[in-house]
Amino acid sequence: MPGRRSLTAGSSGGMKANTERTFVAVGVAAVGLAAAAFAAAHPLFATDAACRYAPMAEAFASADWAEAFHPRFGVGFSVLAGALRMFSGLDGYGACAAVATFAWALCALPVYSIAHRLFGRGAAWFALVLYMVCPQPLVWGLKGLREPFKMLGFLMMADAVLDCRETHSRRSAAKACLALWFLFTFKCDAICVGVAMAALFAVFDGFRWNTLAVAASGVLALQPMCALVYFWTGYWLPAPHFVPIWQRLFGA
Amino acid sequence: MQELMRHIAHSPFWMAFVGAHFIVYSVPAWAIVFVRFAKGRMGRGERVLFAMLAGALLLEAVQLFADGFSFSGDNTWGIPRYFGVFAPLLWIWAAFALSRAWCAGNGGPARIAVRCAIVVGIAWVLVFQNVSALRGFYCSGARHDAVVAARRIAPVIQADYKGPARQAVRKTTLAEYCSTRRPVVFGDFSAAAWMVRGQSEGALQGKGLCPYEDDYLFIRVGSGYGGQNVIDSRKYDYVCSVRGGLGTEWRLFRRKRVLVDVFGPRN
Repeated sequence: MPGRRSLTAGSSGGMKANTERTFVAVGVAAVGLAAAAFAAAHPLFATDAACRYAPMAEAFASADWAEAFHPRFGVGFSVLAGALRMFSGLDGYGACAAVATFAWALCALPVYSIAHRLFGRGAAWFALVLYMVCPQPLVWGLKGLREPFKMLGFLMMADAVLDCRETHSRRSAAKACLALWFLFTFKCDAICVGVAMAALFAVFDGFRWNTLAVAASGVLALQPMCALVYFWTGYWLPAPHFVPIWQRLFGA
Repeated sequence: MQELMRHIAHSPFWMAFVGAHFIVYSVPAWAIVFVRFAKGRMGRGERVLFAMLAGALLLEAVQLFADGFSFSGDNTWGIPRYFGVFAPLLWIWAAFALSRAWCAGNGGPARIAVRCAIVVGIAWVLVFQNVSALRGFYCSGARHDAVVAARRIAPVIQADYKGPARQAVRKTTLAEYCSTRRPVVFGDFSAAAWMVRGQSEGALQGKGLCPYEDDYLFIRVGSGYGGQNVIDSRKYDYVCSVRGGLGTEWRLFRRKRVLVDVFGPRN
């Protein structure tokens, strides 16, 4: 383990910071692939995935678009799990569990990054370990639920906001752009959280070019859901929950 | 403070809320947050992080409340999934505390003892918490029993199911996803339907979300499924029984069909 200075002060310790980050990323990806393979073979059965996501993934793989998407459950999960089902030969439930478990593993990267940014290298390693050994998010992945993707989007966005606050870099904007796709296309209740965090990003960015890029990415990420909700309800809104609110405010 | 703790301990919502953040990490993490706030040691970055965490939790609660979600009684099942996704941000403070504790002291037995305790604690979470969380699914417990029974019954349903035409004309609803081309299996284990590539809305029965009736009923003997201990023989035919992973008896019933309604949804 690293010495005291490197643990508390956030210095590079034995390895250079970039090398260490690469090592963490490769390690997390390897753990994610192994866990996803296990999840595909031995998923935990949950009602939501069995009754909705797995049939939707199978419908996507067989190009049955009417059954592949439903406005309550986003488009992202059907596309990812359905694509994996299409190209891997896994069944729908195995595909859901595999992509969700891989997303669970990827969440460790923003956790590491945030802890490194705020508290230094030692806290980052402990945060990584605490996250990876915790059973709760892992079970969501093994069950093939969408929560790991919402968590990934939220953590990436938090990392992007903190990064933007410190550096105003394009890297922070890239993280935010990607995070908004996870927040906007997987779970409807994550849309408001994503919008609020994007606003916080804009405040720290000072409403400059990075803000414009993030806003454009966010608006683009909302369109698949808007199209789906429009197909079902006739309203160009990102979630069916907003339809009654819209009707109350502006009339039918 | 004692009154607050007593209120939390007796509130299903607050207990589920605390549990949603994985209590082993969240209790020390909340304590550290409060201490750092009280002593004014929170840096600006930490305050931003805490604002994002608190704001996300608040927004989630407001949305659920606006959507008609009840935060009391038996409706606490969804709380870990709705609120737990934000927990890793909270755990970062627990990680910070561990990193400080790891380096505490000037060496010697005290430091070694602290480090041993940290390693043992993490190993305890890794082994025992994961084992207790997963054992019920893979090795023992009601879920394992149900999975084994469902795997055994799947070939029976697949051989028996003919496919009523009414499913092909029923449309799914905005309130709930439903497939139109699958056998509908209700019962004590909703995911059993998946074993036959079927559709199950067992968890949603009685909530007005399921727009059609079942083709099969797959129940654990003695479970009192749906509040009924005796299956109505005027509605269902007994098909067969199988044993679950723990030796429990599961029974399959087929809904009697007098007419196949090809003109529209029966409900």
